[in-house]
Amino acid sequence: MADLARTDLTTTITAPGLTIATTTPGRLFLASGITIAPNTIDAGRHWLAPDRVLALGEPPPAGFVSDVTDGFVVLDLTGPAWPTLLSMASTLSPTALAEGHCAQTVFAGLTLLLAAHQGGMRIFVERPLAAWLLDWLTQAATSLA
Amino acid sequence: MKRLPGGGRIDRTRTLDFTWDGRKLSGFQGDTLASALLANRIRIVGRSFKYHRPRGLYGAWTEEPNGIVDLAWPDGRHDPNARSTLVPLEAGMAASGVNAWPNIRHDALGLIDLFHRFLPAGFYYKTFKSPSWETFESRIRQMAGLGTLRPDADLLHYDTRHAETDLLVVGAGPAGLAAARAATSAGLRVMLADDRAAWGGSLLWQPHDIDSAPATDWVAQTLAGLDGATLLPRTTVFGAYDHNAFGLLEQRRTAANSWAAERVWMVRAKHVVLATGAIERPLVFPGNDRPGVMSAAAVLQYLREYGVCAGHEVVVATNNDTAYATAVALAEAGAIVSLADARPDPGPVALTAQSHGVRVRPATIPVATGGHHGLRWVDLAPRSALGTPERVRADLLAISGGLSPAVHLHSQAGGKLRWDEPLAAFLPDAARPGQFFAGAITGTPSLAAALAQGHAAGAAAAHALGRTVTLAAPRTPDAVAPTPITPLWFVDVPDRRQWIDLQNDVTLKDVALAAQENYASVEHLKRYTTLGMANDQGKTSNVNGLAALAAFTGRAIADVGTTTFRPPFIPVSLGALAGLRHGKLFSPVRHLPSHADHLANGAVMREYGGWLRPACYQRIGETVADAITREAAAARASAGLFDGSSLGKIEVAGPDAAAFLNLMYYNEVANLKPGRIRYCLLLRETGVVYDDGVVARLAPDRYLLSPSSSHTAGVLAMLRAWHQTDFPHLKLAFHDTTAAWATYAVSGPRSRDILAKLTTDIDLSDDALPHMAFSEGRIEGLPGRIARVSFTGERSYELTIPAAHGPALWRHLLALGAADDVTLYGIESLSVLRAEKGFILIGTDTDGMTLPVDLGVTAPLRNKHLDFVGKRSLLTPDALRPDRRHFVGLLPEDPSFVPAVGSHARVDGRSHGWITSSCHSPALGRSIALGMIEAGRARLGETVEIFHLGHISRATLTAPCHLDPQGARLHG
Repeated sequence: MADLARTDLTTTITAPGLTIATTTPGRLFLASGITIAPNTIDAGRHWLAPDRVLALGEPPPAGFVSDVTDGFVVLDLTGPAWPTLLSMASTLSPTALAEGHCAQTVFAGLTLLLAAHQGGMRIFVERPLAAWLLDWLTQAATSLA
Repeated sequence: MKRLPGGGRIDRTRTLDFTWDGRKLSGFQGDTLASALLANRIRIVGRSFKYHRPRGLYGAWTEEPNGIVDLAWPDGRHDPNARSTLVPLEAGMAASGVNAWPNIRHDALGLIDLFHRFLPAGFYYKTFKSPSWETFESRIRQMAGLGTLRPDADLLHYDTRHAETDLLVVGAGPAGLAAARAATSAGLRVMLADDRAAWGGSLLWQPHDIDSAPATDWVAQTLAGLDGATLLPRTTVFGAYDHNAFGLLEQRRTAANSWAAERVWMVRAKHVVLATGAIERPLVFPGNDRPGVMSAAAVLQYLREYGVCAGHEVVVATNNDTAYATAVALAEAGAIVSLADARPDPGPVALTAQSHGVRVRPATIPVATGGHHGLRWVDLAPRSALGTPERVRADLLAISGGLSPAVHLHSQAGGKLRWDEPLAAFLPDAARPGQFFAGAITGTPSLAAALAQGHAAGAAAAHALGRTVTLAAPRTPDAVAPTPITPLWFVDVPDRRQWIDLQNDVTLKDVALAAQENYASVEHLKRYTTLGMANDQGKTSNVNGLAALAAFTGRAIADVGTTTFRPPFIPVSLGALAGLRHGKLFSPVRHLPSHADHLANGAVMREYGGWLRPACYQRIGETVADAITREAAAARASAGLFDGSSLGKIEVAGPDAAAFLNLMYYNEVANLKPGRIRYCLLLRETGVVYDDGVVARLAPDRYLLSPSSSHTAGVLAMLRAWHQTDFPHLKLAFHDTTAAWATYAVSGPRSRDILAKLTTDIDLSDDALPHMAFSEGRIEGLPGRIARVSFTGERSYELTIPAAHGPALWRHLLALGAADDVTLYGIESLSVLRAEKGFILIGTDTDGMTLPVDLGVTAPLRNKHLDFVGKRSLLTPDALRPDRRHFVGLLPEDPSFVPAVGSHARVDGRSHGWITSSCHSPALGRSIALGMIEAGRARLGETVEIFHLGHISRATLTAPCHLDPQGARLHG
């Protein structure tokens, strides 16, 4: 049996007050039939739409579940300048990303999922768009110098 | 004109060298380009738009109509239409005049002015009609416009910011500062924007005391107390949109890393205080465009801000009190000043002016000016005896026709304006929701009132958000009430040109002509004469133009009304509006999981529907056409490997999934057995084919849809819209899993041999996995799926595994297929293979009018008895017309000639349709085509004329499938 090893995107972008790094937090599942409060994160489940979540970690035991672990590239933005970068990319206010909150919104012209994460911001971007988004973030981060 | 030895807020220790039309000049840190030009006695800064008349600086800020220059910065930036009054002077700048040849002092095109009698408003609508406008167009376009753009691309990056705030205060003059001060004290999040670098607005050049201290101290204290406020100096609020959304243009002092100095903010404010002040309007009189005729308010700003005295022998002409401050300041600076006031009794300001040595002439107005390349004299006449003027020597004529409140943002946001007769000004009518006014925008000339209004506005915004302001309002001693303005809209003398719009060269006579030709509406006047349509947006000309139209049409100004102000308040560069959306960041593009492998394999990558995909894999010594032919031939001869990861993968699950999808698709999908795949069309309500693709049934309650790569998001949106709006009672949900999987097709007669080498628990025998079936299992130990679908007409296998493992599988398949001569093929090669088979490409062979019947797919309409999206539209008389265009094949008479896509198929000179796809077919060794031809299916064998750009050839109509019509190769 051939070893079909993974190819994962790993990048780190640094700028004054900001680090952007790819991360692999665990398996991801699209799940329908799961109800949590809008724009919240509950036990790794990120609200996407009524009755639909992106679940991080173990697959939800019931409902309509699709494994999309390879469907996303996850980026963690840390450092005090992440709200500045957010304001360059999106109309979403940083206050919408208080701990425990997430939002599916337009960021740098892409529809993606933003989530509060350990005082910073986590981005879930579709894998095919990750390279373009990283180009965008690399360019945008130079404005912080 | 000279720089005074002291005064102004410039840094005289920092000299900045720059050039003007090649001459070396210098100014100081803190100068604008305009103030530096004035200090260097540069009188002519531009040539007028239409008549090429010499023009000097009129204003000092955003209102300036004349001082548009070509400006190059030492770092390579270039602005062909820089607004000299708004550009901070920098060392090494090279500025020059525009719209003149060879230069602005000696402009050959100035001859045009001699023919001005023949060039009235609308002259080119009347003149350039015969034989046609096109005859003259290129020459006129060459003459039109001001600066000339350089051909090289702008390499700068433009910054964008989004923000929301409790209160946006526009303008940091006394009113705006008072508003921000009050709101901040109540804990509101405040943004304060002002287009100047220094805070204080008119307090910068009009000294006062506030709260018993010099106003400058009050400004500093106030700013220091604005806790947590976002302060945006050098920031112009250029646009006001619905629900208090605003566009701001910030001019940053420095920018690094190739970032432009300009930054656009998009701000949503719960409340806004418009403390935008007022703009002084000119007086309209003969010769009022001569260099040396300037706004009195601007003259005061040049004096107080930059220490530049714009004249030595000065006439000030006014119809209101405001110009007196200019007259007094000029006299204090050593100028010889006389003042002509249109009012018979100017009141107490005249006494103050006289005490400073200003000669005041009541009831007197300017009626002519003179001087070559600049003002030398002014004719002043009593209003009662215009025919007996007195000639007064002057190198500066400072004029004031009253103040026009800066109502632009209010108007842009949909606010109405009302004409105030005593103030002779348009004022904002009822405030828009969340909007407050303070200061000169309300028409008040009083500082005390401005401060009180500002404080009240800040307090009102706080109150609306449930906060209370306990701070006392700032106070200033009450000033003497001004003597009312006496409107003077123009001077009633015949045959002398009086300019209303300096930037677009619109004169009083033009307005009179428009009125005479019955352009009585202000909107028509604007478009016919171009009054107020230059990039200064009529800041100085609007009200004077309306007043003239009112006079010529015998109406009151209030009845004439005003045009609507539209964004932007000042010109904003396209680069600033685009932000980072240029170059490779212009539009998002998706990458395939094996993107790097494709590049390593020599792929020619092109964008197809938002995906960057291999068009073909070009080898050394090959053209793209060679590569396509080689790849298409290899897929038929042995095997090909294709990356199909971009094809959509929408999972649909739920007890009602089958019922819902049957309502959506043209084809029957409810009777599809689990493990089977069907090719289906998806229609719009109009019956037009929106997408095609395969539908696989994973389980009784679970389907996998595979729309075309560029339609996945659209199909998902369409399905969700129907579910949410018409069928919410049906239990099902959708997951787009496209990005999670990599899909590769192995196609060709030896594909089975290659698959046989794969380690998988999936039974690949034709009995277990026939054409249009799929199986799930393990592929090299990974979860995956193998499907028998074919877009090439050859035996094909589609392998799907988790996306991160895709590149490894791609390389593995290449290695497994090496012995069977597996060849990579791209989209363009696939397009040849499918054209040989007569398979349609949605959007290429179909368009926004193509129905299934046109493609020959009629069985579902006959056999499917359920309703489905688009069904009714397939039963209309138009859909049933026998002469609809049908999808057919075409074989060119010359087998080496590939007709262009879009070529018309003609019979007796009339077009019967067109070619939608064409190529050289390596399998057939000849050219083939597909097309949409009237009643084509009934005309197979008929010969048509192929017409393209005058070239005529011939082709025979055939069935669309050019190769293996029985489909034997699918099973070979």
